[in-house]
Amino acid sequence: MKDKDNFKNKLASLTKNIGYEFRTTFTISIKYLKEIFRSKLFLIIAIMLPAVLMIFMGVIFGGPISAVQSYNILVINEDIGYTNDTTTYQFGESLINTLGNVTYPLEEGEVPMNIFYIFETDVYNQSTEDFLIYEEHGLHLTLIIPENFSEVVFNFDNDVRVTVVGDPLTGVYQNSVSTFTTIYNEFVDAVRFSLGDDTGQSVIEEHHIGIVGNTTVFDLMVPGFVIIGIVMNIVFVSTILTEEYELKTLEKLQLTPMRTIHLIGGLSLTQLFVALVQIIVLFALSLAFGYNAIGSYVLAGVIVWIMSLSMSAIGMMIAAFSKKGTIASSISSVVAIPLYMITFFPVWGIETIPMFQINGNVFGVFDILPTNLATRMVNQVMIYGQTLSDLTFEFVSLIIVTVIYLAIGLVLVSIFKLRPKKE
Amino acid sequence: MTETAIQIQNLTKIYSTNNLKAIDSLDLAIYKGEIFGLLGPNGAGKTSLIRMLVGLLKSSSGQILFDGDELNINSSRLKHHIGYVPQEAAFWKNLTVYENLNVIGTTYNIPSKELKERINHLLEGLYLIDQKKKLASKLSGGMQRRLNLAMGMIHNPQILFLDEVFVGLDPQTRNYLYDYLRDFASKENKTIIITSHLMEIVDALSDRVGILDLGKMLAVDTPENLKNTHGKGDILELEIDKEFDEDLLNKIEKSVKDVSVEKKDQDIFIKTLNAIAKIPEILNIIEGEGLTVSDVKLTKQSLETVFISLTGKELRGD
Repeated sequence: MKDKDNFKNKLASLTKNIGYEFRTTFTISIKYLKEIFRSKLFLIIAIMLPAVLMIFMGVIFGGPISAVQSYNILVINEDIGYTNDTTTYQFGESLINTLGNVTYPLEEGEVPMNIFYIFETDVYNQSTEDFLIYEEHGLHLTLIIPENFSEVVFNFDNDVRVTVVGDPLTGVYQNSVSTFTTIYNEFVDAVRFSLGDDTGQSVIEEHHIGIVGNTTVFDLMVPGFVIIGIVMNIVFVSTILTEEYELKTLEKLQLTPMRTIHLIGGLSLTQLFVALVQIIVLFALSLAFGYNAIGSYVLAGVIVWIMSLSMSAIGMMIAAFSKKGTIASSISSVVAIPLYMITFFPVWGIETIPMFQINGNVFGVFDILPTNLATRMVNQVMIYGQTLSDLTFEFVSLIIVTVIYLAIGLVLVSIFKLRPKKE
Repeated sequence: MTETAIQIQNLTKIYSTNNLKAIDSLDLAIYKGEIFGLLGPNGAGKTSLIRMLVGLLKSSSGQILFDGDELNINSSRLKHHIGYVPQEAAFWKNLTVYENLNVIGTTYNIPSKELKERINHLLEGLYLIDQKKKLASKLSGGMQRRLNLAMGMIHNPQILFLDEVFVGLDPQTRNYLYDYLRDFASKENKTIIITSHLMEIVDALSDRVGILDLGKMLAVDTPENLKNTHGKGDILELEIDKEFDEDLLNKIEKSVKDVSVEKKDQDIFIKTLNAIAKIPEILNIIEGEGLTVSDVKLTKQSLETVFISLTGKELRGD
């Protein structure tokens, strides 16, 4: 009976404690929400500015992709060569060299420009395709040279076949295939002619993959724009927290039984709400400017939403070291600028520097920045239609990185802002 | 009033940036239910002391005991026990008066219904009830200070620290606050520690007063005892109708205990403790010399004079 009573008491106490944790965190969150939504400056920074940027970019880049002068080709050369008498022919290799050497002059006096930039890989599978084509190099076309390529070229009775892979709906793919076809035909004709015959066809088998819609530059950049909108949250989180310190309201909270986790939790909840509004507004605006997305908006939104927590964490880190709201705001802007730049690295096709690899999944140096990771993921989702199962590694990485950021923010705020001062 | 609320033992605070000893081996006991006034010139260490007592500032050495337990700022029990009203009114400008109090009250885990009642009770008591839906930034200075006070009292603390809360208040609000704090302490047996440079308020409000200078407690006692012990006395100014010589002054000094007498034109200046009680005796001596006192002016001893006597400084506002 006594044990039962003890258990009941413990349960009641636990329920009361949990209730307190939630109530306090929620109250602090509501406090921040009221404060920021009653502040005109906040509305300008967090909602208006990103929205204006999106509108601006939509107007500028909302049209179709302009003609590309050079094409990036991923080549999988499976050709094993062909030996006739004592001579071994590697026509696959010759084709690659030819493609790599084709240039066209621009204006007179300018250095001739390559039509194709070649990237080679030995293994071809779905993961290679996804990673190399659409992330690593921003390739426009994949060329697969079959194992018997040299043999077939040598054997005049057969058609010479290669396979190209890409999305027929993109203008870039169409242009690159067209250019490739011309060069490929000329190559086969030239080689066969040199071998003494010119019969047989050069055939290109196209393997279409529906992962890219009618992609525009704007489409590629939308995830970046959405994410830099969220990056703005660094400014508001750091400023609001530093102003609490500056105006001594943080000291008031410090005197109460409230703990750091309530403050950080409350502020993060507020930031999540703001981010949700931003995500909805920015994606809605992007749609209005003709964003061609084939993936899940919900998944993309969730990715950005999770990433937004790391922005509040960065804001907290800045606030931990700032004594005035104006200083916090300035530091935040300085931090945000390189983040903006790095956010667009995946869009610009800047290669990541591998940090480590797990089961073939590479975690790059820039992935330490959740903005970079999230931009890449949202592009994968929205442009290439990838799902959560395709992005499990990245998704888990994003969560881990975000949690690390939040933990650092929490510790720093606790040490520098909520402990009794020494001076 | 002999049960100790706060026991300070050998407390020292040295600021490492300028090697300043703000509090120097301080020992002090503050009793339950008393209003303790803390006086000191600028830089005496008042605010440092209070901030250490509420756990906002780390001490360099020494102990602070609340009800016998050492100060542990992370202790929820202690946080419920003490309230602090800082010098600067600190509140969330973009929240209403009610919302400000609700945030603070919630962090003390006061049940919603009770919290609502307490807020309304406090706002009524502090004449802010009509302003409860107003944004705090829109309040007048006096109202903001009252809101500041309410925020420190919302959890009904046993010990309340008030740091210069009377600064910037109009006389009406000041008198009102004075009565309010008196009631708060006497009816609910609360302990109040108050710093102010307004001597008359500290004098009238405090059960005991401590005078702090250069981090040391120079004297602690009731205001009356301080005045009697450390004051140089009241000043009695007597205007005499005729010319008189130095003999009269010598006679007063010899006959009346503990007085110092000076002549200035037609006036006699007598400095002594508890001058009122000595007036009849002095008048008798003067009249015995065939002189008449045409005017009497008495300047009572104040804490100000005690303060100056102990610290050698005028007390100015921070």
